[in-house]
Amino acid sequence: MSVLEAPPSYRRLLYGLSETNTRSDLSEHHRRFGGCPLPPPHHRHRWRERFHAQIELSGLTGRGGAEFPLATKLAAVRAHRRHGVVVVNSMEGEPASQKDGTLARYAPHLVLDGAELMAALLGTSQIYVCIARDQRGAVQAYEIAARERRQWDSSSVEITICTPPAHYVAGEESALSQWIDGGRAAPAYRPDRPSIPVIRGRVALVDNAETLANVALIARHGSEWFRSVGTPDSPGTRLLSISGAVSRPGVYEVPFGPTLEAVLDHAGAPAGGLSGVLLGGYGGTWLSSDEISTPLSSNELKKIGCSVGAGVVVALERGHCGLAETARIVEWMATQSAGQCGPCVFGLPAVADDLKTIATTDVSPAIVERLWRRLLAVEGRGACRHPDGVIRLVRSALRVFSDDVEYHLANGPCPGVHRPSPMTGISERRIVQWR
Amino acid sequence: MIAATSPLIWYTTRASGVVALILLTASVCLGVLTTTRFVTRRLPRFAVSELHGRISSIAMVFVLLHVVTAVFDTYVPIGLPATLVPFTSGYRPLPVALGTVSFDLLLAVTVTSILRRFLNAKLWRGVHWLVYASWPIAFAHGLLLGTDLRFGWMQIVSGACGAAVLGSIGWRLWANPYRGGLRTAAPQGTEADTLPMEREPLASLSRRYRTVEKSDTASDGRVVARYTGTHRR
Amino acid sequence: MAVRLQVNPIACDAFGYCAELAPELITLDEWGYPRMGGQPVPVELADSARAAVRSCPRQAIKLVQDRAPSRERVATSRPSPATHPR
Repeated sequence: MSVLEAPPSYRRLLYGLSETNTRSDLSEHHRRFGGCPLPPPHHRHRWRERFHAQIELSGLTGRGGAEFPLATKLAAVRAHRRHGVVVVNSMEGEPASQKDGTLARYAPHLVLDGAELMAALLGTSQIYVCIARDQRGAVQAYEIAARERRQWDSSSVEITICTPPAHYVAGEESALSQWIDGGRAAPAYRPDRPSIPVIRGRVALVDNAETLANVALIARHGSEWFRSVGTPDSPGTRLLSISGAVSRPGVYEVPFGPTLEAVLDHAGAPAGGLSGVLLGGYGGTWLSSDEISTPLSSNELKKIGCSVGAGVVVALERGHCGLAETARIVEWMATQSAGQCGPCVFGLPAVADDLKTIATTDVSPAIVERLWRRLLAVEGRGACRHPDGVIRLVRSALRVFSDDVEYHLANGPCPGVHRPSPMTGISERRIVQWR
Repeated sequence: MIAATSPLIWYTTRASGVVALILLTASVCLGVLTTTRFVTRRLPRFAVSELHGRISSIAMVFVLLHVVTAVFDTYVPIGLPATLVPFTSGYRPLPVALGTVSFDLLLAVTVTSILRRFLNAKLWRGVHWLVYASWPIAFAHGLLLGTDLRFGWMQIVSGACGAAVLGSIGWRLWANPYRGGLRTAAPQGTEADTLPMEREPLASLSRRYRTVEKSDTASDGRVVARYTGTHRR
Repeated sequence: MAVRLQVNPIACDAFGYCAELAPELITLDEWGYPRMGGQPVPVELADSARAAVRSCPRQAIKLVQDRAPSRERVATSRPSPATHPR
């Protein structure tokens, strides 16, 4: 999949990428973006408050899926009495997402700059970079980048490259911190939300790679500059991994504001129209072909119950069966359960089963009703938000493809069921590892 | 220090030993039963668990009686240290040591159960599993030391206890309907949420109901390991 | 001072004792796992709730304080005119 540039005025994280798609080593990184504006250690005291205020003014939210305001998270970690560590989350458990891998390969120093800045804010020198074990290219890129930085300035921070198992839920905050602490890469039960993960007695600030790359740019250009693109409620740009029925799939840097339709047109949406668009990830939501004219901003998307999430956009061509695609996704997501909570372990396969029944056989209304009841039975009853994401996806599918449900109830399976699926990453068997 | 000898104390030791064996056997069997989610119309699942707990407490009373009378009886020179430290008995060190070890394990289980609410759940569970060591050791102690084994009735009782424990463990492992499958009977208050089994059109994922199947597939496609079990890895 | 029942879904192993002891508060889903609404436990059912909590073999279920709004906490102590909601 090639990496293409966004329209030039919005080139920020992907700035300077050429068609040859070269990796940026440290000198190239300095040429493109300048040096990391980190004051020397004895000047940091006042800088910390100013930079924290900059991040708050910028309105930067997490780019990993939850879209939580970074300044709030930072304040919570800084308020803790214990020392902190910084964790770079480049796990990218969403199979259809490529953005963190792209950043790893082509702008790892931007991400590491952001990590160093956060470490300076917390007053720590410990940084963990977590990349899924099977993404060897990204792992290598970060290792080379870390080595370059150490050669350039050996006294700064200690960057540890970690490779947790490649599992969907392993990228969750508490799963990562438990794994770094020597346990299983499975989410913990945290009844007092929001809670701060702890690694070896120190509080951890876990941030997505894209978020940290934005932090590095805010440090260089300020919060005003950051807010100069995007919308008032959603400033800045997002990296979107666009795939499916588009002629130019890839990672696009897109400002908030344009409609999803415009973005898909830019990526080459099919002339015949779309049956639906999956936004956010396999734990995200479907949008109907009418709803894609919603502007990309968190307020607008929230009105239809959606969010940009992890930046995954999968276009489903007209003639494909959205219910069958959802069934495939849910079946895969069921295999990605950590296996800790009964409602998830048993509920997700049951929901997948019902969806498969609806999509592929002559289904009765009782099955559809049972599916609705099961959605209620599974939602909110796991230790983590994995089953909640799946249930939200299914609810959106039943809403967007409600006509298809009626059709299936009346006529049985539709011809679209057998079309090749645009969903990536769900057909190959993965080796199940937890440590 | 009360140390005396009298046939009464000696017979109390023997009798309480027999009763303790029977009650401990019942306790182990009931404990195994709780893991199978056993339920009948008259006996809810929590009752099986409570029965197990209460019989265990009564069993401990008889174990204590057995130990105390054995130590304070001067007919046989089992000193006080032998209650907790194995191989310090003057009388038949090995068989008494088996009893000592078994008693130590039971003490750990009892203390952790009394203090259960202050302890980590996994710690409690780990210590509780020591019962699977304690019972056979106590059984061996009885076989080697049992003064009454020359009587037929005692041989029958011992045999029955052994058979009961082996049988319940065997049933739990190989024959019980729970075994990660459908519950045998629903307790009160179950949501009747599913269609009856016969009417479901698609037979599909066996992992639906408790058995979780995961396969580790090596890179050349061979299935390396396949394991089934309850949802807790 | 409202209390409600809360289950740790990782620790829970679907024994079902809680639903047997407090059927008005806890029901089991089709896979045997407990569902307790987030509602506070009524006073008359407090004993059942405590029995259910004690009975769990995995100690997965707890009684937790609801994060009650401050006016309720004030109402349980001696109400003063300045702080009483009415």
